[in-house]
Amino acid sequence: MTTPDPRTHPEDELVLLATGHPVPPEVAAHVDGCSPCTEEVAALREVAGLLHEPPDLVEPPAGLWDKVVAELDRDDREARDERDRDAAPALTVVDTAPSPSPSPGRRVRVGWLVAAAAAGVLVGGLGVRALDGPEPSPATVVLGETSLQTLDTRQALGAASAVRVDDHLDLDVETPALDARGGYLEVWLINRDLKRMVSVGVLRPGDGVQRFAIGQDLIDEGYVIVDISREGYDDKPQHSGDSVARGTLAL
Amino acid sequence: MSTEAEADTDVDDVAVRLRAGSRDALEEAWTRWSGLVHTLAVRALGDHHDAEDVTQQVFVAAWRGRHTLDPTRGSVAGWLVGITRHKIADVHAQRARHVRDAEAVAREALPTSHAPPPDERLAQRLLLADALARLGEPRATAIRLALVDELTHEEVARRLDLPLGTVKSHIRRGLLTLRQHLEEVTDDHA
Repeated sequence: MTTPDPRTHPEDELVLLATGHPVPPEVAAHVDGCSPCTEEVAALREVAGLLHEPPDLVEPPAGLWDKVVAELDRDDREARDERDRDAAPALTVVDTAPSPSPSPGRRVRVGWLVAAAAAGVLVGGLGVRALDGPEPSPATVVLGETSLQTLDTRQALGAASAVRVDDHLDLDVETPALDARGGYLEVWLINRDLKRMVSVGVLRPGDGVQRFAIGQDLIDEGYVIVDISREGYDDKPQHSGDSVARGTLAL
Repeated sequence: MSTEAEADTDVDDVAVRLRAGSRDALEEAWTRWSGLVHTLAVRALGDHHDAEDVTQQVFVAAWRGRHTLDPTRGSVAGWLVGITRHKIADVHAQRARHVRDAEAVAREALPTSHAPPPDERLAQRLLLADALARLGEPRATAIRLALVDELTHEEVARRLDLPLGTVKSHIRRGLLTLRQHLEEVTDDHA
């Protein structure tokens, strides 16, 4: 077969070929020996095949847009609150007398939660707001930090840092953009080996820096991936599988 | 979803304004593409409640991640499809994880281990149908008549009262334009 003359590319007949219509024999012969035309027919055939049956659209229910707006408005409010808090000193070295949250144990159980809530000792709370406190306090040194990001779009939703306060090792978590959506947020440390994880406590969303007692032994054993899960009140103490943000402490 | 044909420049304008932080642009994107997003979610998840959650999350994520929208790299629709896939994959992974133990959660929930993308062809078909709607006339109608209604080019020419050569050229050029949209959906830039 001779090299086809570009001027004779049967451009407008290619659609016919691609859609299975008959074409003059000389057109078919040309395309057989012309790779640009063959490629174009293949491309046109693919597009034509996809267009052939337009899919039926399923519209979202009325009112769903309002939920989107409500969620974005909540973001905005939290960002404003965040800016207000930014007037306080940064996390790196802070003079504060934090009240470390009571260690919730390695597994949060709903029973514990209920008891804790009843006793008014639900974890977290003070953090940065304590900076306004007048009393002198131990220095807090940040050992390692990470931003907490969604797993898919890597949207930064907060930050966590391992901090040493005197001889304690604590985990500070700040998640202005998280929302428990009717459940609660739980903080986990996942081991580097990705086989083990421990619960370090329950997070109150959008409530400044919250501090969780962890310990050097956990870090030494490789529990350095901070994970925030959304949990339901479902009597299932294990991780729900709904990781809303995650980050690995840079130690 | 809007059915009126819009020029590409209008759509690009949505991208530019959305990236710049316009809530109005997000609402326009919702009006135009929430049906596309929701259809993908419903078909991939088979559950209206989960699908509504995904559709909501896609537009919330689109707003929070609007800086990742590059108007020069593709359409807003292609970008939203990318986000939708991630959200659907999250739900699939979450469902799978619900029946496993906590150890498996740690292993499976890593960012790198997403489920395979849902119905590739459905996403492409939805995007093409959307792109066709904004192809402009008489090109869009010529393609619809020829490819959906399966009229011959001669019949299309008669319907549109246009010369046969013009109709053929419209159809071919239109299809080649649509093909570029097809490349967007396989180019994962979410």
